[in-house]
Amino acid sequence: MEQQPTNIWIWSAIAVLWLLPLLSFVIGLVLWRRRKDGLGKFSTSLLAVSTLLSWAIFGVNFGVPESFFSVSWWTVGDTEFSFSLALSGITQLLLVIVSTVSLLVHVYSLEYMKDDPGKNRYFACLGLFTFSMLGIVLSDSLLLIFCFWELVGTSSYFLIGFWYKKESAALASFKAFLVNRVGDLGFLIGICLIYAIFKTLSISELQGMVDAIQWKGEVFNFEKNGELISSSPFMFTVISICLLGGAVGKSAQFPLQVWLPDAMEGPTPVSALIHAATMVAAGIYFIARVFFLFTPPALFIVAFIGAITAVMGAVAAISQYDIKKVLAFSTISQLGFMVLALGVGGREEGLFHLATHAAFKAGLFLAAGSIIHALHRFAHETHAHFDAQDMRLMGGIRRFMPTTFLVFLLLALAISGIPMFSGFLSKDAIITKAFSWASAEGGVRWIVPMLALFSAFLTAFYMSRLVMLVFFGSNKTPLLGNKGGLTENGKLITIPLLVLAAGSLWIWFNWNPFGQGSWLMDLVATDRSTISGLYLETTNEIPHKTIAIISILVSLTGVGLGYVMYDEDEHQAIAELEEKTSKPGFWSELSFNNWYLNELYDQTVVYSFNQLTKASSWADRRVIDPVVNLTGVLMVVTSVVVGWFDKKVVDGLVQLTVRITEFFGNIARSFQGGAVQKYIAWSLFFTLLVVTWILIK
Amino acid sequence: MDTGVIHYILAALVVLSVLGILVTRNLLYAAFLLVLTFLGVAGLFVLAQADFVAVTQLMIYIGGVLILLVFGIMLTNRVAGQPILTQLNRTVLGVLFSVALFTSIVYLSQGFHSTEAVVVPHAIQRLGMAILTDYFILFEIVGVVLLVALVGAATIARFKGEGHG
Amino acid sequence: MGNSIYLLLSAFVFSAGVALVLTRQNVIAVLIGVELVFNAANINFVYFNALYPERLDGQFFTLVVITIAAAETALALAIILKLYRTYHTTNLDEISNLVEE
Repeated sequence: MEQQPTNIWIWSAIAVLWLLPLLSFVIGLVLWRRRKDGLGKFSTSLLAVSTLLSWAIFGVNFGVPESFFSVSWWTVGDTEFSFSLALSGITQLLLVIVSTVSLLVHVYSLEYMKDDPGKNRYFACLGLFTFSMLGIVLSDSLLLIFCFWELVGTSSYFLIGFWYKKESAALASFKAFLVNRVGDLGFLIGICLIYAIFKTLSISELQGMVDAIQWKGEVFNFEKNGELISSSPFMFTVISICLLGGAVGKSAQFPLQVWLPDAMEGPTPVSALIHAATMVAAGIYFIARVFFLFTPPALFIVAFIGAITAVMGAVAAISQYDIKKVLAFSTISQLGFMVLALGVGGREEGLFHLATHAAFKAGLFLAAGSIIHALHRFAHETHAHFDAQDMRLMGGIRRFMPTTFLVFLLLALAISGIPMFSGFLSKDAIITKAFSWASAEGGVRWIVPMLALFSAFLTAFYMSRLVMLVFFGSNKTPLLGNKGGLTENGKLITIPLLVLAAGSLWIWFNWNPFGQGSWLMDLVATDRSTISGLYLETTNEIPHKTIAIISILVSLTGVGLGYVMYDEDEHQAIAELEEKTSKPGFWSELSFNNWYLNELYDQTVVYSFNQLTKASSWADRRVIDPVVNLTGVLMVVTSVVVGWFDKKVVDGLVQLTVRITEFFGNIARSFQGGAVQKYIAWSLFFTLLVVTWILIK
Repeated sequence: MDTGVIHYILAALVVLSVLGILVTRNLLYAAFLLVLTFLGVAGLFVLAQADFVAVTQLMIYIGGVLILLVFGIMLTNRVAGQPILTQLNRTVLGVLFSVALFTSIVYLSQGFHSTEAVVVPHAIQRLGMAILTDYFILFEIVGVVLLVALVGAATIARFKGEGHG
Repeated sequence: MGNSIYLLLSAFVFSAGVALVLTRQNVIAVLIGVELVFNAANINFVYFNALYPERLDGQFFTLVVITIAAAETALALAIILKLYRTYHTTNLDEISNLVEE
C-alpha cells in the first residue's frame, strides 16, 4: 500500500470545508423559527468558501495517490473503531460535485425561497445535508458511512416535508423515510457480515485484504494480523447484495424507487440538490467504493436491477404531466443507468455518468423550478389559481423566459445523449461497456445493453416531449394567453442555471465531442484488485465507433419522434389532450401510474402488513388482554392474601416486639421517675437483698 | 446501778419520742418531739463518756438544726391557724422495709455485749489536743465544708433579683 | 438477746428515720427522718468509742457528722425554699419532675 504521509494542509482544508456547512446548520438551529433575513446569505458565503476549498484540493491533489486520516473513535474491549477518512480521486470528484451543486442551489434558493417564512429552517437543513453528504464522501469506515448515510436520509426527510402543513408533503417525507429503511436494513446486515468475517470496517483495510487475497479452490483466504481467514465466494455474494440493498433504497432503484416521485413535494431546489444530483447518487458512489467486494453473480444482479430501473423510470416519465414528476422519473432512469454501468463492471463509466448527470439534472430541476417560480409569481399577481407544475397549462414559455429556455434546451439535449454535450460522452461510455460485457459472455446478458439502448431512446423521447409541451406551441396558462405578464427570474436564479448549462458542454470532459470516455474516468480509476477481477473473464472490446453511431441514431430518433408527436398547433394539442384524458390506453395508464408499483405495494406489502396488524390487534385483544387481566386478578387475590398476612402476622410480630420493648422500658423507666423516695426505697431494697445474701452465705 | 436505770430511762425517752414522730402527721409536733429525741441522745452520750459530744449535740441540733427546721416549716406553709400536716405515702412499704432493716441490723450486731464503760479521765482535754494535732487537717476541712455549705445555702435560698449585682 | 442497749436503740432510730423518709410526703418531714438517721449513726460512734476509751476517733467523727448534718440541713432547707418558690408546694410527689403524665 503506497500510503502518502498525511498532508496537514490538505486535511485541514478538508476539515474546514467539511465543517462549514455544519456551522451553517448550527447557526440555523439557533435562528430556526426566526423570520430574520441573513442566514441564507451567510450560509451561501460559507458554502462558497467550501466550494473554493474543494476546487483547490481538486487542483492541488490531482493525480496524487490515496491518503488517509484516522483517529481512534471509540473502543469496545480490545476492538478499536477509528474515525477514518480517505482522500482519493473519487473523493475529490465527489467533493467538487457536492459542494458546487450545493453552492449553486444555495444561491438559487436565496431568490426562490425569498418569501418563505421558514427559510432559516430551510438553509439550516441544507447545511445539515451538505455536511452529511460530504461525510459520506470522505468517510473511510463503513460504520461512519452508515452514520452519515442516515443523517443524509434525515435531512432529506426534513426537506421533503419542508412544507409540513401540507398533508401530501408530510406523507411523502414519511414514505421516503420508510422505504429507505428497507434498503438500510440490508446495508446494516451487510456491514455486520463484513465485520463478522473481516473484523474490520475500514474500506481501505478491506481493499488491502482483497489485494492480498488468495484463491484456494472453493474458498478465499486472507491474512489479517497474522490470522488466516477463509470465506466462501457465496458469502461475498450475500454481502454484496446486502450492501446493494442500501444503495437500492437510497438511489431509488427497482423495486424501491416509489419514494422518489413523491419526494418532489419538497421545494424544487431541494429536488435539484438532494433528489437529483447528490443524495441519490450516494448509492452509486457507495457501490463504487465497495465495488472490489462484488462477485460476478452479484454484479449480474446489479446490472439487471439497473437496466430494469432505467427502462421503468423512462417509461413512467413519458406520460406524466407534472413537470417535476417527469424529471423525477428521469432521475430514476438515469440512476438505473449508473447502476447498470457498475453492474457491467464499468465503475469509472458509472461515476462519470454520475458527474455529468449531477450537472445536467440539477440544472433541469433548477430550470423547472425557475418556470414554476415565475408562474407562481404570475398567479400571485393576477390572483389566478392553477397548478403551476402542470405541463398542460404551459406552452410557449420560450417567449417569456428566454434564458430559462436556452438553459433547459441545452440540458435536455445533454440528457438525451446528443453529441457535443456531456450526456453523450457518459451514456455512450456506459452503453459501450454494456455491449462489451454482453458480448463477452453472451446469452441472457444481451438484454442489458438492449434495455440500455431502449431507455436511452425513451429518454430522448420524453425530454423532447417535455420541451415541446412547455416551451413551444401556444400558451394555455389561464389569464396569460400570448400577452406578457410572465417574466424571467432574477440573476440569482439565472446565474446558477447558466453555470450548470455550461457545465454540461462536452469540452470539460473530453476535447473530442465524439470521443470515448473522459479524463475523469482516469481520475477515479484505481489499480487495486477486485473480487470480480479474480474470475477469469473473457473480454471482448466492441469498437466504440459502432456503438457511438448506434447511440446517436437512437437518441436522434427519440428526439425526432418527440418533436413530431408533440409539435402540433393548438387544436391538435387540445384534441389529443382530450383524447388522452377521455380514454387512456393500457400502456399510457401503466406509464402514468409508474407501472402501478404503488398500487402493487398497497395490495401486497401494505395490505399484508395491515392484515398482520389486524391479526396482532386481535391477538392482543383476545389473547394477551385476557392473560393480562387474569394476571391482574391473580395479583389482586395474592395481594389481598399477602395483605391479610401482613396485617395479622407480620404486624402482630412487630406489635409484639414493640409491646415487649415497651414493657421492659417501662420497668426500666419506673426506677428513675424523679420520685426521690422511690430511689431510696429501691436502694434500700437492694441493700436488704445484699444483706440477706450475706446472711444466707 | 444508777447509771443502768438512767440508761433505760433515756432510751425509753428516745424510743417514745421517735415513735411519736413516726405516728404524728403534724410537722410542728414532729419537730418538737425531735427535741426530746435529741435530748435523750445527748443524755446517752454523757453516759458514754462523751461529754463534749453531748454538749455539741445539744447546741448544734437543738440550737441550730431544729430552729432551722421550724423556720423551714413556717416559711413553706402559709396557712395560718391550721395544723400543718403531711400526707402519708407507701405506709406499708415503709413499715415493712424499716422492720426488715431493724431485724437485719439487730441480727448483724449480735455479739457486741455491753461491757461496762471504763471511765477515762481528762476526756475533753485529750479530745481538744487530738483535734488540734492528729485530726487537724480533717478539722479544718470540715470547717471549710461548713463554710462553703452555708455560703451555698445562702446563694440558693436568696430571692431572685436580689444581689445579682 | 445479748445486744447492747445502744446498738438496739441505734437500730431503732435508724429504722424509724428510714420509715419517715419513705412514708412522708412533706419534704421537711423527710428531713426530720434524715436527722434521725444521722443521730443513729452518732449513737453507734459514741458507743463504740466507749468500748475503746483510750482512743477518740469515735467522738471526733461524731463531731464531724454533727457538723456535716448542720451544713446539710442548712443546704436542704435552702433547696426546699427554692423548690417551694418554684412549685408552690413541699409535696415530694408533686415535685417529681422527671415523670411524664
